[in-house]
Amino acid sequence: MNTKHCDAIVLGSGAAGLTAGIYLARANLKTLIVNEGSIGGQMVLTHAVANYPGVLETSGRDISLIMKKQAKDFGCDIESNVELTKFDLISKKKMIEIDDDEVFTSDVVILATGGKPRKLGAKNEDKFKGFGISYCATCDGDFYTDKDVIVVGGGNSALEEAVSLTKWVRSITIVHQFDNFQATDHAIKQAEKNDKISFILESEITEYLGERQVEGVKIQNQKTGETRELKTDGVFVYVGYIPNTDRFKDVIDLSEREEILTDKNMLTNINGVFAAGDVREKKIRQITTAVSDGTIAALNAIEYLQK
Amino acid sequence: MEHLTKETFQQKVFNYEANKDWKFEGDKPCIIDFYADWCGPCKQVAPVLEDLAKEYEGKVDIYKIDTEDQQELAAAFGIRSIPSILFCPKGDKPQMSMGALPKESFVTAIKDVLKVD
Repeated sequence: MNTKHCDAIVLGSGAAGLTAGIYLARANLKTLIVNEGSIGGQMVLTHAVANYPGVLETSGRDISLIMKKQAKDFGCDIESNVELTKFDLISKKKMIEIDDDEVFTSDVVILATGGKPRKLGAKNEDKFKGFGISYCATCDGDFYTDKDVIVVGGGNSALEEAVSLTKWVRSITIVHQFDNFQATDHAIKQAEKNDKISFILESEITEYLGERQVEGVKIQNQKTGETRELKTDGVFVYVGYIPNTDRFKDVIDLSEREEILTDKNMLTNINGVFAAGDVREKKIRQITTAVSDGTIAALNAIEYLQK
Repeated sequence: MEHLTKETFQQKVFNYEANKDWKFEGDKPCIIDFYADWCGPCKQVAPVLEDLAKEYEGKVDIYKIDTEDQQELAAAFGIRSIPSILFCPKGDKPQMSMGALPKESFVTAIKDVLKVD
């Protein structure tokens, strides 16, 4: 089997992984970014990015393409749409195998594998996924032109994507399990002042109803336990993310929420293995904080390599 | 990669106006990508399909349907989420898959659903 050696391997190509790649390659280190999906990670699900400093309003996809170009221009190799079939993070010389036929070794690894949207866990969710249940407003909003939809969640993603959906839909009901939102004041105000948006708080969707497509939901009030049915054409789910750490759990220390634990230098419990972005334990998950993590991880990885 | 319209879809895949039950019109299995230009994850799928079109040339047809342009086709399949990928084997019912699949999943589906190695 063909084996190649790099100075650094970055797993994941969202904001954190690409930033780490930019810094590593720019330090003249032979760097490989390996990515099981495609470039951009969860950034590409974001319709409009208006708070990334230095860039006027753009899309998550456009930012990710620029980051990719920067990484490549500095000499980073990027392997996209491959499968990580084996890895060894514990040995001093790290090893990964992709697609069962290529092996790469390196002195450091940065884990930037991100997360995926959390499912709601309501009855019939798998049955209606794609048929009235969506996790991406920017992808699917157009299919709900002049329809009535529900957005589930109370964080920034839920409220901001609800506001962006008002371009298409007739009405939005935001269903949230608590009596207050976790989103920022700005996001809450934007949603509250929009005439198309109404709110059902302290309530959870327990079941999706319909034949071929979602036609309604069962909603349970968390305080009274009372359940009622609400007609809807679709449900957009924004209830947070699950970190992509399942395969690392035997070797990397994780939090209770299965996020990778790191120190302030982004170092994990294993020497030479760093973590960055949404995959690590932290409170704030933004493109800016992923970029920050990627920078810190890469610069500390460079220092580690120089020792 | 060929972009299908209602007319070419009916010739090459399924004439849903003439047939109530699924009847595949193609001479080899096919994959159809329902996409739109505004959809980031759809753009992730595009290069994967280009690779597959080369690797499976002569064995599998790969088509694209612009859901914005071909709203009737999207509605006929009840498309509410993109990318949606339709796998059409010869002699069996088609299967729809939602979301941007990694290449590995396409290869598995080509083998398992389309019965092509």
